[in-house]
Amino acid sequence: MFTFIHAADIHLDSPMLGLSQHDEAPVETIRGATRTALTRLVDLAIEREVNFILIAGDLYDGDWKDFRTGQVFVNEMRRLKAEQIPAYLIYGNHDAESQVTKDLILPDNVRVFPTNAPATVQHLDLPVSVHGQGFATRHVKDNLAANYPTPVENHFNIGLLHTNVGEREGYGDYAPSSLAQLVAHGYDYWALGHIHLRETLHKHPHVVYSGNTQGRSVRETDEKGCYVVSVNDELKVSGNEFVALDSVRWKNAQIDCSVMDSDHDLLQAIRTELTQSLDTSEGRLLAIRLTLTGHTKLHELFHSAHARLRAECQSIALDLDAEMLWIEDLRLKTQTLIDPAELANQDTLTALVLAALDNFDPTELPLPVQTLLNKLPEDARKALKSSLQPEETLDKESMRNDISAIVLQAIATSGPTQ
Amino acid sequence: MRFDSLNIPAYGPFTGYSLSFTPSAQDLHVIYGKNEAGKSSLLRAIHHLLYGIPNSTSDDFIHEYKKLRIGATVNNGDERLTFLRRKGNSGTLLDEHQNTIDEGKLKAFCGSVNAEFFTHMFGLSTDNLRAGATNLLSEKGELGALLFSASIGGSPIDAAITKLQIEADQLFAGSGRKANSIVAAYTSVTKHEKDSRSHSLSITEWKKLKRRLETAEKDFASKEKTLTDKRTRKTRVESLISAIPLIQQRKAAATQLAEITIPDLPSDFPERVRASQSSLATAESLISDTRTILKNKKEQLSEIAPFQSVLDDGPVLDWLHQAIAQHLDDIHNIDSAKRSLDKLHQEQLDQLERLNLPDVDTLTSLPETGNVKLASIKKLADSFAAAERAYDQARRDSKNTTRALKNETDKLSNLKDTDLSDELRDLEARVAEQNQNHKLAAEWIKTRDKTTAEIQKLTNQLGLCDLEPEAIPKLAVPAAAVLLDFESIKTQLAEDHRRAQAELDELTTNAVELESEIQAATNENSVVTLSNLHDSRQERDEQWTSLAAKILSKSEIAAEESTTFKMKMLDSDEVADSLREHAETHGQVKTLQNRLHTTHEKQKQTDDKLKRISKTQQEHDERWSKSSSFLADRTFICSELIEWREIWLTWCNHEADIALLNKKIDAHEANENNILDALREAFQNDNASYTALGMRLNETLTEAKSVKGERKAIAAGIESLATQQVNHQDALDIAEANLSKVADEWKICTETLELDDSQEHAAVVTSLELRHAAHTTNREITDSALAHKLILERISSYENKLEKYRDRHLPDSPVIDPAHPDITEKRLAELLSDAKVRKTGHDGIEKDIARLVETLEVKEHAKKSAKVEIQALLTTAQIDTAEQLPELLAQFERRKILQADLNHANSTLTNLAGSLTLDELVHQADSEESDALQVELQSLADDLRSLQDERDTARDTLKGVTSEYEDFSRADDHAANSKQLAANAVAKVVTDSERFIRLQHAIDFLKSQVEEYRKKTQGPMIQRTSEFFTKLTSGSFVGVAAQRDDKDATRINLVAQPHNPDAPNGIGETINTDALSEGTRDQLYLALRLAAIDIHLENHAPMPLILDDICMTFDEERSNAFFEILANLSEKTQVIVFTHHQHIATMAETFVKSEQILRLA
Repeated sequence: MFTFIHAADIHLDSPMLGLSQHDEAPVETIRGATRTALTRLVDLAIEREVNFILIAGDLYDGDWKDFRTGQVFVNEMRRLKAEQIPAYLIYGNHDAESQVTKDLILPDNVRVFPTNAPATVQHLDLPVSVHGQGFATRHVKDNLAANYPTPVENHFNIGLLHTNVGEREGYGDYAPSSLAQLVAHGYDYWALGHIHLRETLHKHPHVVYSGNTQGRSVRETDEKGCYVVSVNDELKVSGNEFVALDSVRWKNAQIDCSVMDSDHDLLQAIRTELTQSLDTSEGRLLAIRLTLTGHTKLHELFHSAHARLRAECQSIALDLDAEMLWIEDLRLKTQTLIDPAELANQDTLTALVLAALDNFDPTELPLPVQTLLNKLPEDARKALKSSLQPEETLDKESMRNDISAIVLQAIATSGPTQ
Repeated sequence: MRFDSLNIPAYGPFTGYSLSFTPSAQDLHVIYGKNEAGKSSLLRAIHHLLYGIPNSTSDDFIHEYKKLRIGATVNNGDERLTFLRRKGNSGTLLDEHQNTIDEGKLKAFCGSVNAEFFTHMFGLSTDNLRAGATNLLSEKGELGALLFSASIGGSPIDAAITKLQIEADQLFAGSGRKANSIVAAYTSVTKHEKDSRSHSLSITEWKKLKRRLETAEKDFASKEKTLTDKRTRKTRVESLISAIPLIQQRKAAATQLAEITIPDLPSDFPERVRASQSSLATAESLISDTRTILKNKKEQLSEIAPFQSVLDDGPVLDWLHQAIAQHLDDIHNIDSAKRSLDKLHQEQLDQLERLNLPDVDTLTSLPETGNVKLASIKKLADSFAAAERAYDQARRDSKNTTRALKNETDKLSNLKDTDLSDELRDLEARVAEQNQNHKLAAEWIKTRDKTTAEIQKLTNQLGLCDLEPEAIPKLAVPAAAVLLDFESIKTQLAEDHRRAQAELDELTTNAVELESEIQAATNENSVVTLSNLHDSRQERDEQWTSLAAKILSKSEIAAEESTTFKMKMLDSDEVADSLREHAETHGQVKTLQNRLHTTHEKQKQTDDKLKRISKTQQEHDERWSKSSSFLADRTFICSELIEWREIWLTWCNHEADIALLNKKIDAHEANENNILDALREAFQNDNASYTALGMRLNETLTEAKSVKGERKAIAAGIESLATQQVNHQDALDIAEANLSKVADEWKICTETLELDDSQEHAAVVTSLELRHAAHTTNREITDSALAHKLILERISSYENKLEKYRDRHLPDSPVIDPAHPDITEKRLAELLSDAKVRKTGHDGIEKDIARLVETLEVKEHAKKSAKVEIQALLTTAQIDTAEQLPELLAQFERRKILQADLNHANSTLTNLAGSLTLDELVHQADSEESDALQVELQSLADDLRSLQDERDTARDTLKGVTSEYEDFSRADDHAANSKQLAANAVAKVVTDSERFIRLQHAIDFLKSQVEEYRKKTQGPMIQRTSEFFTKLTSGSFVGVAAQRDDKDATRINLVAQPHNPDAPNGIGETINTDALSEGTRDQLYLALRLAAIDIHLENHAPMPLILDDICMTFDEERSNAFFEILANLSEKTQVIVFTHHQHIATMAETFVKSEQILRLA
């Protein structure tokens, strides 16, 4: 009978994080990736001739003040208007603090829901009622869904909501709600925003997170986009198709080094992994993190030649496709193959280092690190928290493991006649 | 690990050199060699043996670079390894058979001791001992790190820390020109963030711009409207001005049109009239021409001659023409065919006669053989002959082999028996070895004799002919260092004496000169002094006192007293004046006097010094006399004794060399005697000489070897012949079977072909070939007879046909000439050709006539149609005759032009009317005055110019604001892109910082470990060093202690503690290393290094310690202590000491067995 698009968390003009700049980095490709995703969203709506689109919050990044970002959104909404496609929009926690949100004049095909109370908007031509309420401030801890209006009879009822359903860890207590509550509310489709990982929590009624339209860091891997929802004559959801909109694809690849004999083997494995990953990135720029794992005899070598390996890895990426590959990072999570007890018997120094490392406390920062800390920008300090203040046992163990490898390998390779 | 032996085939000065290290409880070995004997090369060779020969070695001065080889046998208690080291980049470790072996095998023996550690711990020369110890004691004060490194097997902890620090520094600040560092990335973050901020568009700016845009839009719209209104009016006025003359033209045209009366005709009427008239004229002209041509064609047709009867016989005449060539050939060939047939008949008669056959029928009754069959019979005949030859050869070979076998067997049975015992073989090897050593022994003897002669010469040079040779090496000749010391002191004293004497002489001269200068100055000027002034004034005052007393007592004053007083006053004034006048001279004299005084003082001091030097010289001479009087009848001066001592050392070395050579020669001779005894016993001949017995042994062995060789050769020959015999018998059997088979085949063949098999194979084959030829001839006769008959028939047939057609078509022509029938045939052919040509001409004319008739009909029809069309046009134009047509057409054209003019005027006026209708325009034009309109137009043009300017200004303003607005609306991404670049730079900072943090932790950790270890290890290390140092200095020092550096509290220095019995704890004031004498400092260095080795050996496998001339600054007492320490240490590991001092080697005999003292020849 009709179709609509459900999207959320566009985070317009939010930068891609964690991509270290290097001389031949494909910077142009990642520029404006979030804008590209929005353009693709509008292209999709026009191409599929959908009846309306829903945006479930977080259009912008909160502290971003450039009004041109809002203009980008206005321009795209105008394209929808030219095709007579309405857009229903709520503001999320990030939009609440955005200056752009408050002063932007949107075209009249865009309907923004109020933030002080829930409201209902009925579609002009279709038996569709959209209910929604935006975030008035960044921290809305109330259960907004609880006050949403009762469903309109003989209409397809949609709840547009920015929420953390079931209060998932890592996503804060933003407008918390529960799945049972949403299912019981009587709506046909809950178009949710806030969680960047797409997920259909329930079907009939549908409770759906569309995820964000463009991944922004290696924490947001794989396809990102929106749902195209079809509703039949009985006003039931008959189809819910995911369509990817991203232009930069993030991936976290693990390479098991346990059977490798040399760093040549590693580079070969990296080349294979990158080639295969490129094949599956569907023509998008692939931002990939390579994590080396496994118990391997190369553990110490990796720590000694980390900079070289990183450079060689980068070189392979440039060789394969300089425009379509960006190595986000090369992480070492390998374990030594040598039994610590056996290692301790090997020579006096190793025994000393190993014994001393047991009591080594990586929270006591060396002086140069403290100096560095004072110079670091806030974003970098946050990102380095696990190295600067390793609270978890796992963090500390990981630090000890890395430092042990660096120490042993530095000694083993420092003599001129080894 | 320990060395069992060293074997140096080619390296540095060594060629085929070897040394054995006899195992003992005290694994201490002393290698004595003179200067340049190769001790340093040997130490280097050992290093290269264990760790590889470097590319840049200079030890290829005798042996080619590629041929350098160093070898050894080492053991570690459980295992033994014999190996060689060659020069190269890889695979340089070889086994005894020069095969490459794994480097790991040797590494297992060396344990944790790598090349660098070996250099500074186990392969010590004085230089690297001092360099290493200097590092240990003072370099950067990192004693802790060095102790640490020493204790863990040489791990370069400092290098590791430095390496990590370099990486960390580069990460932090970058290296070279590359701005690839945390600092650079952070700078980049700041730059891009700033850039992002500066390119952000604020809401306020946006709102302001919108307001400006609205105002500009309104202003522009208003101006635009005014301008448009004015422009509209101006256009209307211009239209009216243009319309007025046109309206007048329009009226005139309408009047003229009304005057033309012809009916309305279609627009193509004139063209249709012209076309019809033209068609009629053309048709009439063509009809006349066609009729003339038709008449001519008919006349041509009637003139062509008849041709049909010839054409009817055309096929036969064509055949005669084609067959004439064959007919002429047949006439030509008929005679030769007859001759060939006759020749074949004659040949057949010959063949029948040769085959001895009565007639042809008999021949045809005999079996016929084809070419293939004939070839196979010939092949069979050849095979038969070959089989017979092969059979004969095989029979001959078999007989010969049997005979040879018998001969060889007889020869073997006639050979005598010989045997060779193991004893003789052993003797052969010993004799061979001994003989090989003969040359060497001869060299030894030669060298010994030469050295003996030299030693005699040296004895003469030394002046020791009266002394027993045994006493010479024991002479108490002072050490070279002592002599050099004496010489140096003597020279120094002489120099000091000379200088002091020169100084004294100079001072004396100076004093004399000064005295004369003073004298001269004093003489030149009546020099008065202060004392003169004082004296004259005192005299004056005394005179005055006397006068004053008299004046006071009013006593009478004598005139001379007054004069005297006056004189005294004048004198004192003169003296004072003189002092003033000659003040400079006085000063100079005073200075000279002072200098003279100083010079006298110096003279005295220098004189004292001279006396002291003389005394010291005297004492030195006495000491020298004591030291140099080791020969009762001879005294030396120092330089003389140094030279003498060098000769004496050479003498001692020669003597040692002779002893060694004698030992070798004796061993060689003893070996020869042993062999001689064995030979005598073997050959039972007690009187024969070594040479004779050697020759006999050689002959016996040669003979035995020869017989054995011959027997072996014959046996091998017999074996070979037996094999041949079997082979030949097999060949004979095969040849026989083959012959039998071929004979059978031949018999069958001759029977089948009815041949006489009693003949030779060749005769049979010849007969068969003849029969085959006769059969062939017979077939050829049959074929030739048939061909001849056919030709005769063909000639007859052609001649008959030719005559028949000549008679029919050319009855008047001559009859056929049998020799030249082709003349007649040619005439007939020409007749046929002419007939064909006439026929073609006739057919062409007939076709032309038919086409002309058809054309004529078409033209007649066209003419008729044109006439009908013209009549129709006249009717349309409503006229009667064609002659009226031109006038009608002229009126038609005039009306057309007038109508066009009228239409044009209407069209122009309609355009000018704009939004008005044509009538409205005409009406308005009629009501307006042309002049008034012109005035209004001028006024409007003036208004428009100013309005245009105003409108343009408003438009530009709007354009500017719109552009700004569009610029903002374009959603520029500069700020967002800068933000992205800042994020990329942050990522770089994070990535590099993660590594940086770990590196810094690693560096901190290692530094703290070193410090910990220093604290822990320093005590035992210092204690052990103290023990060794005390021992090495024979108690002069009680040990060493660690002291914090005065300047840097983190530094630890070692200081020596001298023994002082007066001090409460027996330790005198500590002495910094730099303040120790060179010898004592060397002993401290050695103590330190031995302590480190001792500690190392507590936790690690033994490794040979090699000391190259370490104790050259040690006196006898300290050298003894040195050996005591080494003897103890050699219980833990092998110790090898190189020395170039004979007395050190002699001293070592107290500590080790004689076989442990080796000489480096």
